[in-house]
Amino acid sequence: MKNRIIDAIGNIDDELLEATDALRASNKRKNSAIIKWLAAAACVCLAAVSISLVFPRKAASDNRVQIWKDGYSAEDYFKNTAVSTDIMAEEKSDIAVPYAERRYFSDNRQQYEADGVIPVKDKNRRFTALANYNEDGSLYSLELAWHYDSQIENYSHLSVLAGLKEVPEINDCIFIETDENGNVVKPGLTVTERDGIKIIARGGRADKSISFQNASGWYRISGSWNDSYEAVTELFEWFWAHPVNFDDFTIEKGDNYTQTGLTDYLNLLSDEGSDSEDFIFSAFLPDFKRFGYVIAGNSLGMKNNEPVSFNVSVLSNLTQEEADAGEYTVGQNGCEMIDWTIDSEAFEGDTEGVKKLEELTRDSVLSLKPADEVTTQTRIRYIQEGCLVTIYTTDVELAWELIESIR
Amino acid sequence: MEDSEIVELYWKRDEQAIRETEKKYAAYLKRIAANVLYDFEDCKECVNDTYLAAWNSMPEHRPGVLSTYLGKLVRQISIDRFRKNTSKKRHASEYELSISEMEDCVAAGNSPEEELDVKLLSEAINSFIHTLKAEERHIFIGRYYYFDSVKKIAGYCKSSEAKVKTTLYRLRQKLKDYLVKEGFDL
Repeated sequence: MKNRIIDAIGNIDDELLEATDALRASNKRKNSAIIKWLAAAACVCLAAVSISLVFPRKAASDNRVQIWKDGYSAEDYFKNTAVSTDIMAEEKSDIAVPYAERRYFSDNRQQYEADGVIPVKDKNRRFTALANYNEDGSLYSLELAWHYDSQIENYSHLSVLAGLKEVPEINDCIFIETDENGNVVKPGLTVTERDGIKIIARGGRADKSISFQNASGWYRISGSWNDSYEAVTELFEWFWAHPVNFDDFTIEKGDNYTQTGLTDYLNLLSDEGSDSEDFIFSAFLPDFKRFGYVIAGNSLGMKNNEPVSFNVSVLSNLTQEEADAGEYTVGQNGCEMIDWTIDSEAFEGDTEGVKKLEELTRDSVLSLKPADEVTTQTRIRYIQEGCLVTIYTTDVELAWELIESIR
Repeated sequence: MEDSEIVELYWKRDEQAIRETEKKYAAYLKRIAANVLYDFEDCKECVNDTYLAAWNSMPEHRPGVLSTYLGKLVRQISIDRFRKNTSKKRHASEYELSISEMEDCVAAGNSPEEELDVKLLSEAINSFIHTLKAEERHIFIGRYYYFDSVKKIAGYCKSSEAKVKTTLYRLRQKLKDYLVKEGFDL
């Protein structure tokens, strides 16, 4: 019942929300000034720590540096950890993305594991590898992440941020840890010297990371709230022993994902399109025109200039001219919208439990409920020839007719 | 870019709409998600899902105030994510704390009333909020819609934390009485 009340509160009138939101925003602006001041203070502290690292013999905090030895454990690396009870999210400021291009390397997981580029982490099934590049094509940063979220008790997100030199934070939202009295708690800082290199470990609930710069580059290894210090340390030890060869991640070697405007593909969506056989996703789409639908919009996801996903939105009870001119209101005068997406690269975790197209039944589709109260749209998903098809619709009966036509 | 221009981009199915939304509202949406969810990665994913939901719902929707509309989307998506994730309670987010406070209003646990029509309940709660003074409304909405902490509410309502806590307690009792009076079996 209390869940129902929280859901019902989600439908509070907009004008009431706007008034409270305005009050919250006015206070936030003042807080932002404090946060910026705190950030500036933190920078001063960081600068002081950096100076102490660069000039260890002259710095007063020299006694904080621990010396690594055989058998050094995660507990040693994270000797100074902070205990906080709460985390607040605060807007930092608008920060422009400092890189010009991005490429993906996630498909190479097995090869990287075989070649010893990355460690094997079977439990964290979702792997992302991407690199960001400067305008001249040189590497700006490399991001690797191993993720697991199917069960909250085993949630894990381990990541590596690396570059030839230190990569600055570009988050537009920062998280501040506080104690039970609301006082800001900074992650505990532990510095270890190992083979002449300073290793900086930050220990807290939100920030659990190890960073260092060696001859190969700069690294920051991080873990989520649910990852142990041991897991972070284990990943650190891997990259300490297996430095990244950044030449493996040049812009030419990565996968380039783009979205196209699709004007050229419009005619291919009907059986009247002379080249429909050439369109890779033709077999996945019903003949919308035969059912009286017109195209509202579409987009084709490309990977290295090859189609990998497709999205089309269609409208009923309209002419194409009316749809193009935007002269319609969905839900009025019989005008309904259906959104159809085909993804040939869906992550296996997203397709678990999703039935195949041939296994769908009318009853199972019609029994689906709207995904949420706001959009009132129902989501229908199925697997067709290895692709994940997702349909959003306000009219499940109509959607079922369309699905049946392609079975 | 003005909200109306961003909404127009959605209606034209121009993907620039998502980029403009992200530019203007990413931090705002992350704050709402962070009040519900503990994990930052989950927050980011919920905010990304919000962009998708906005893309899928405009058209048909043409929101007057985009921030409020997006706020509703991210709130619901984050709550759904929280419910999906949480088979065992591990960490107390503001969402969890605020929902546990609601036990003052209703019996805890599942009951036949779980089937209660959310729309009817929504109408009753809207009517209830309209009966409150402005400060009480801000405190109630801040806590149970945006899941702000008591400390934060005290900040923007220029009040003490003790007073906010007292007001919230009183409001929960009032809400309970109001819903019973309206015929809801709690």
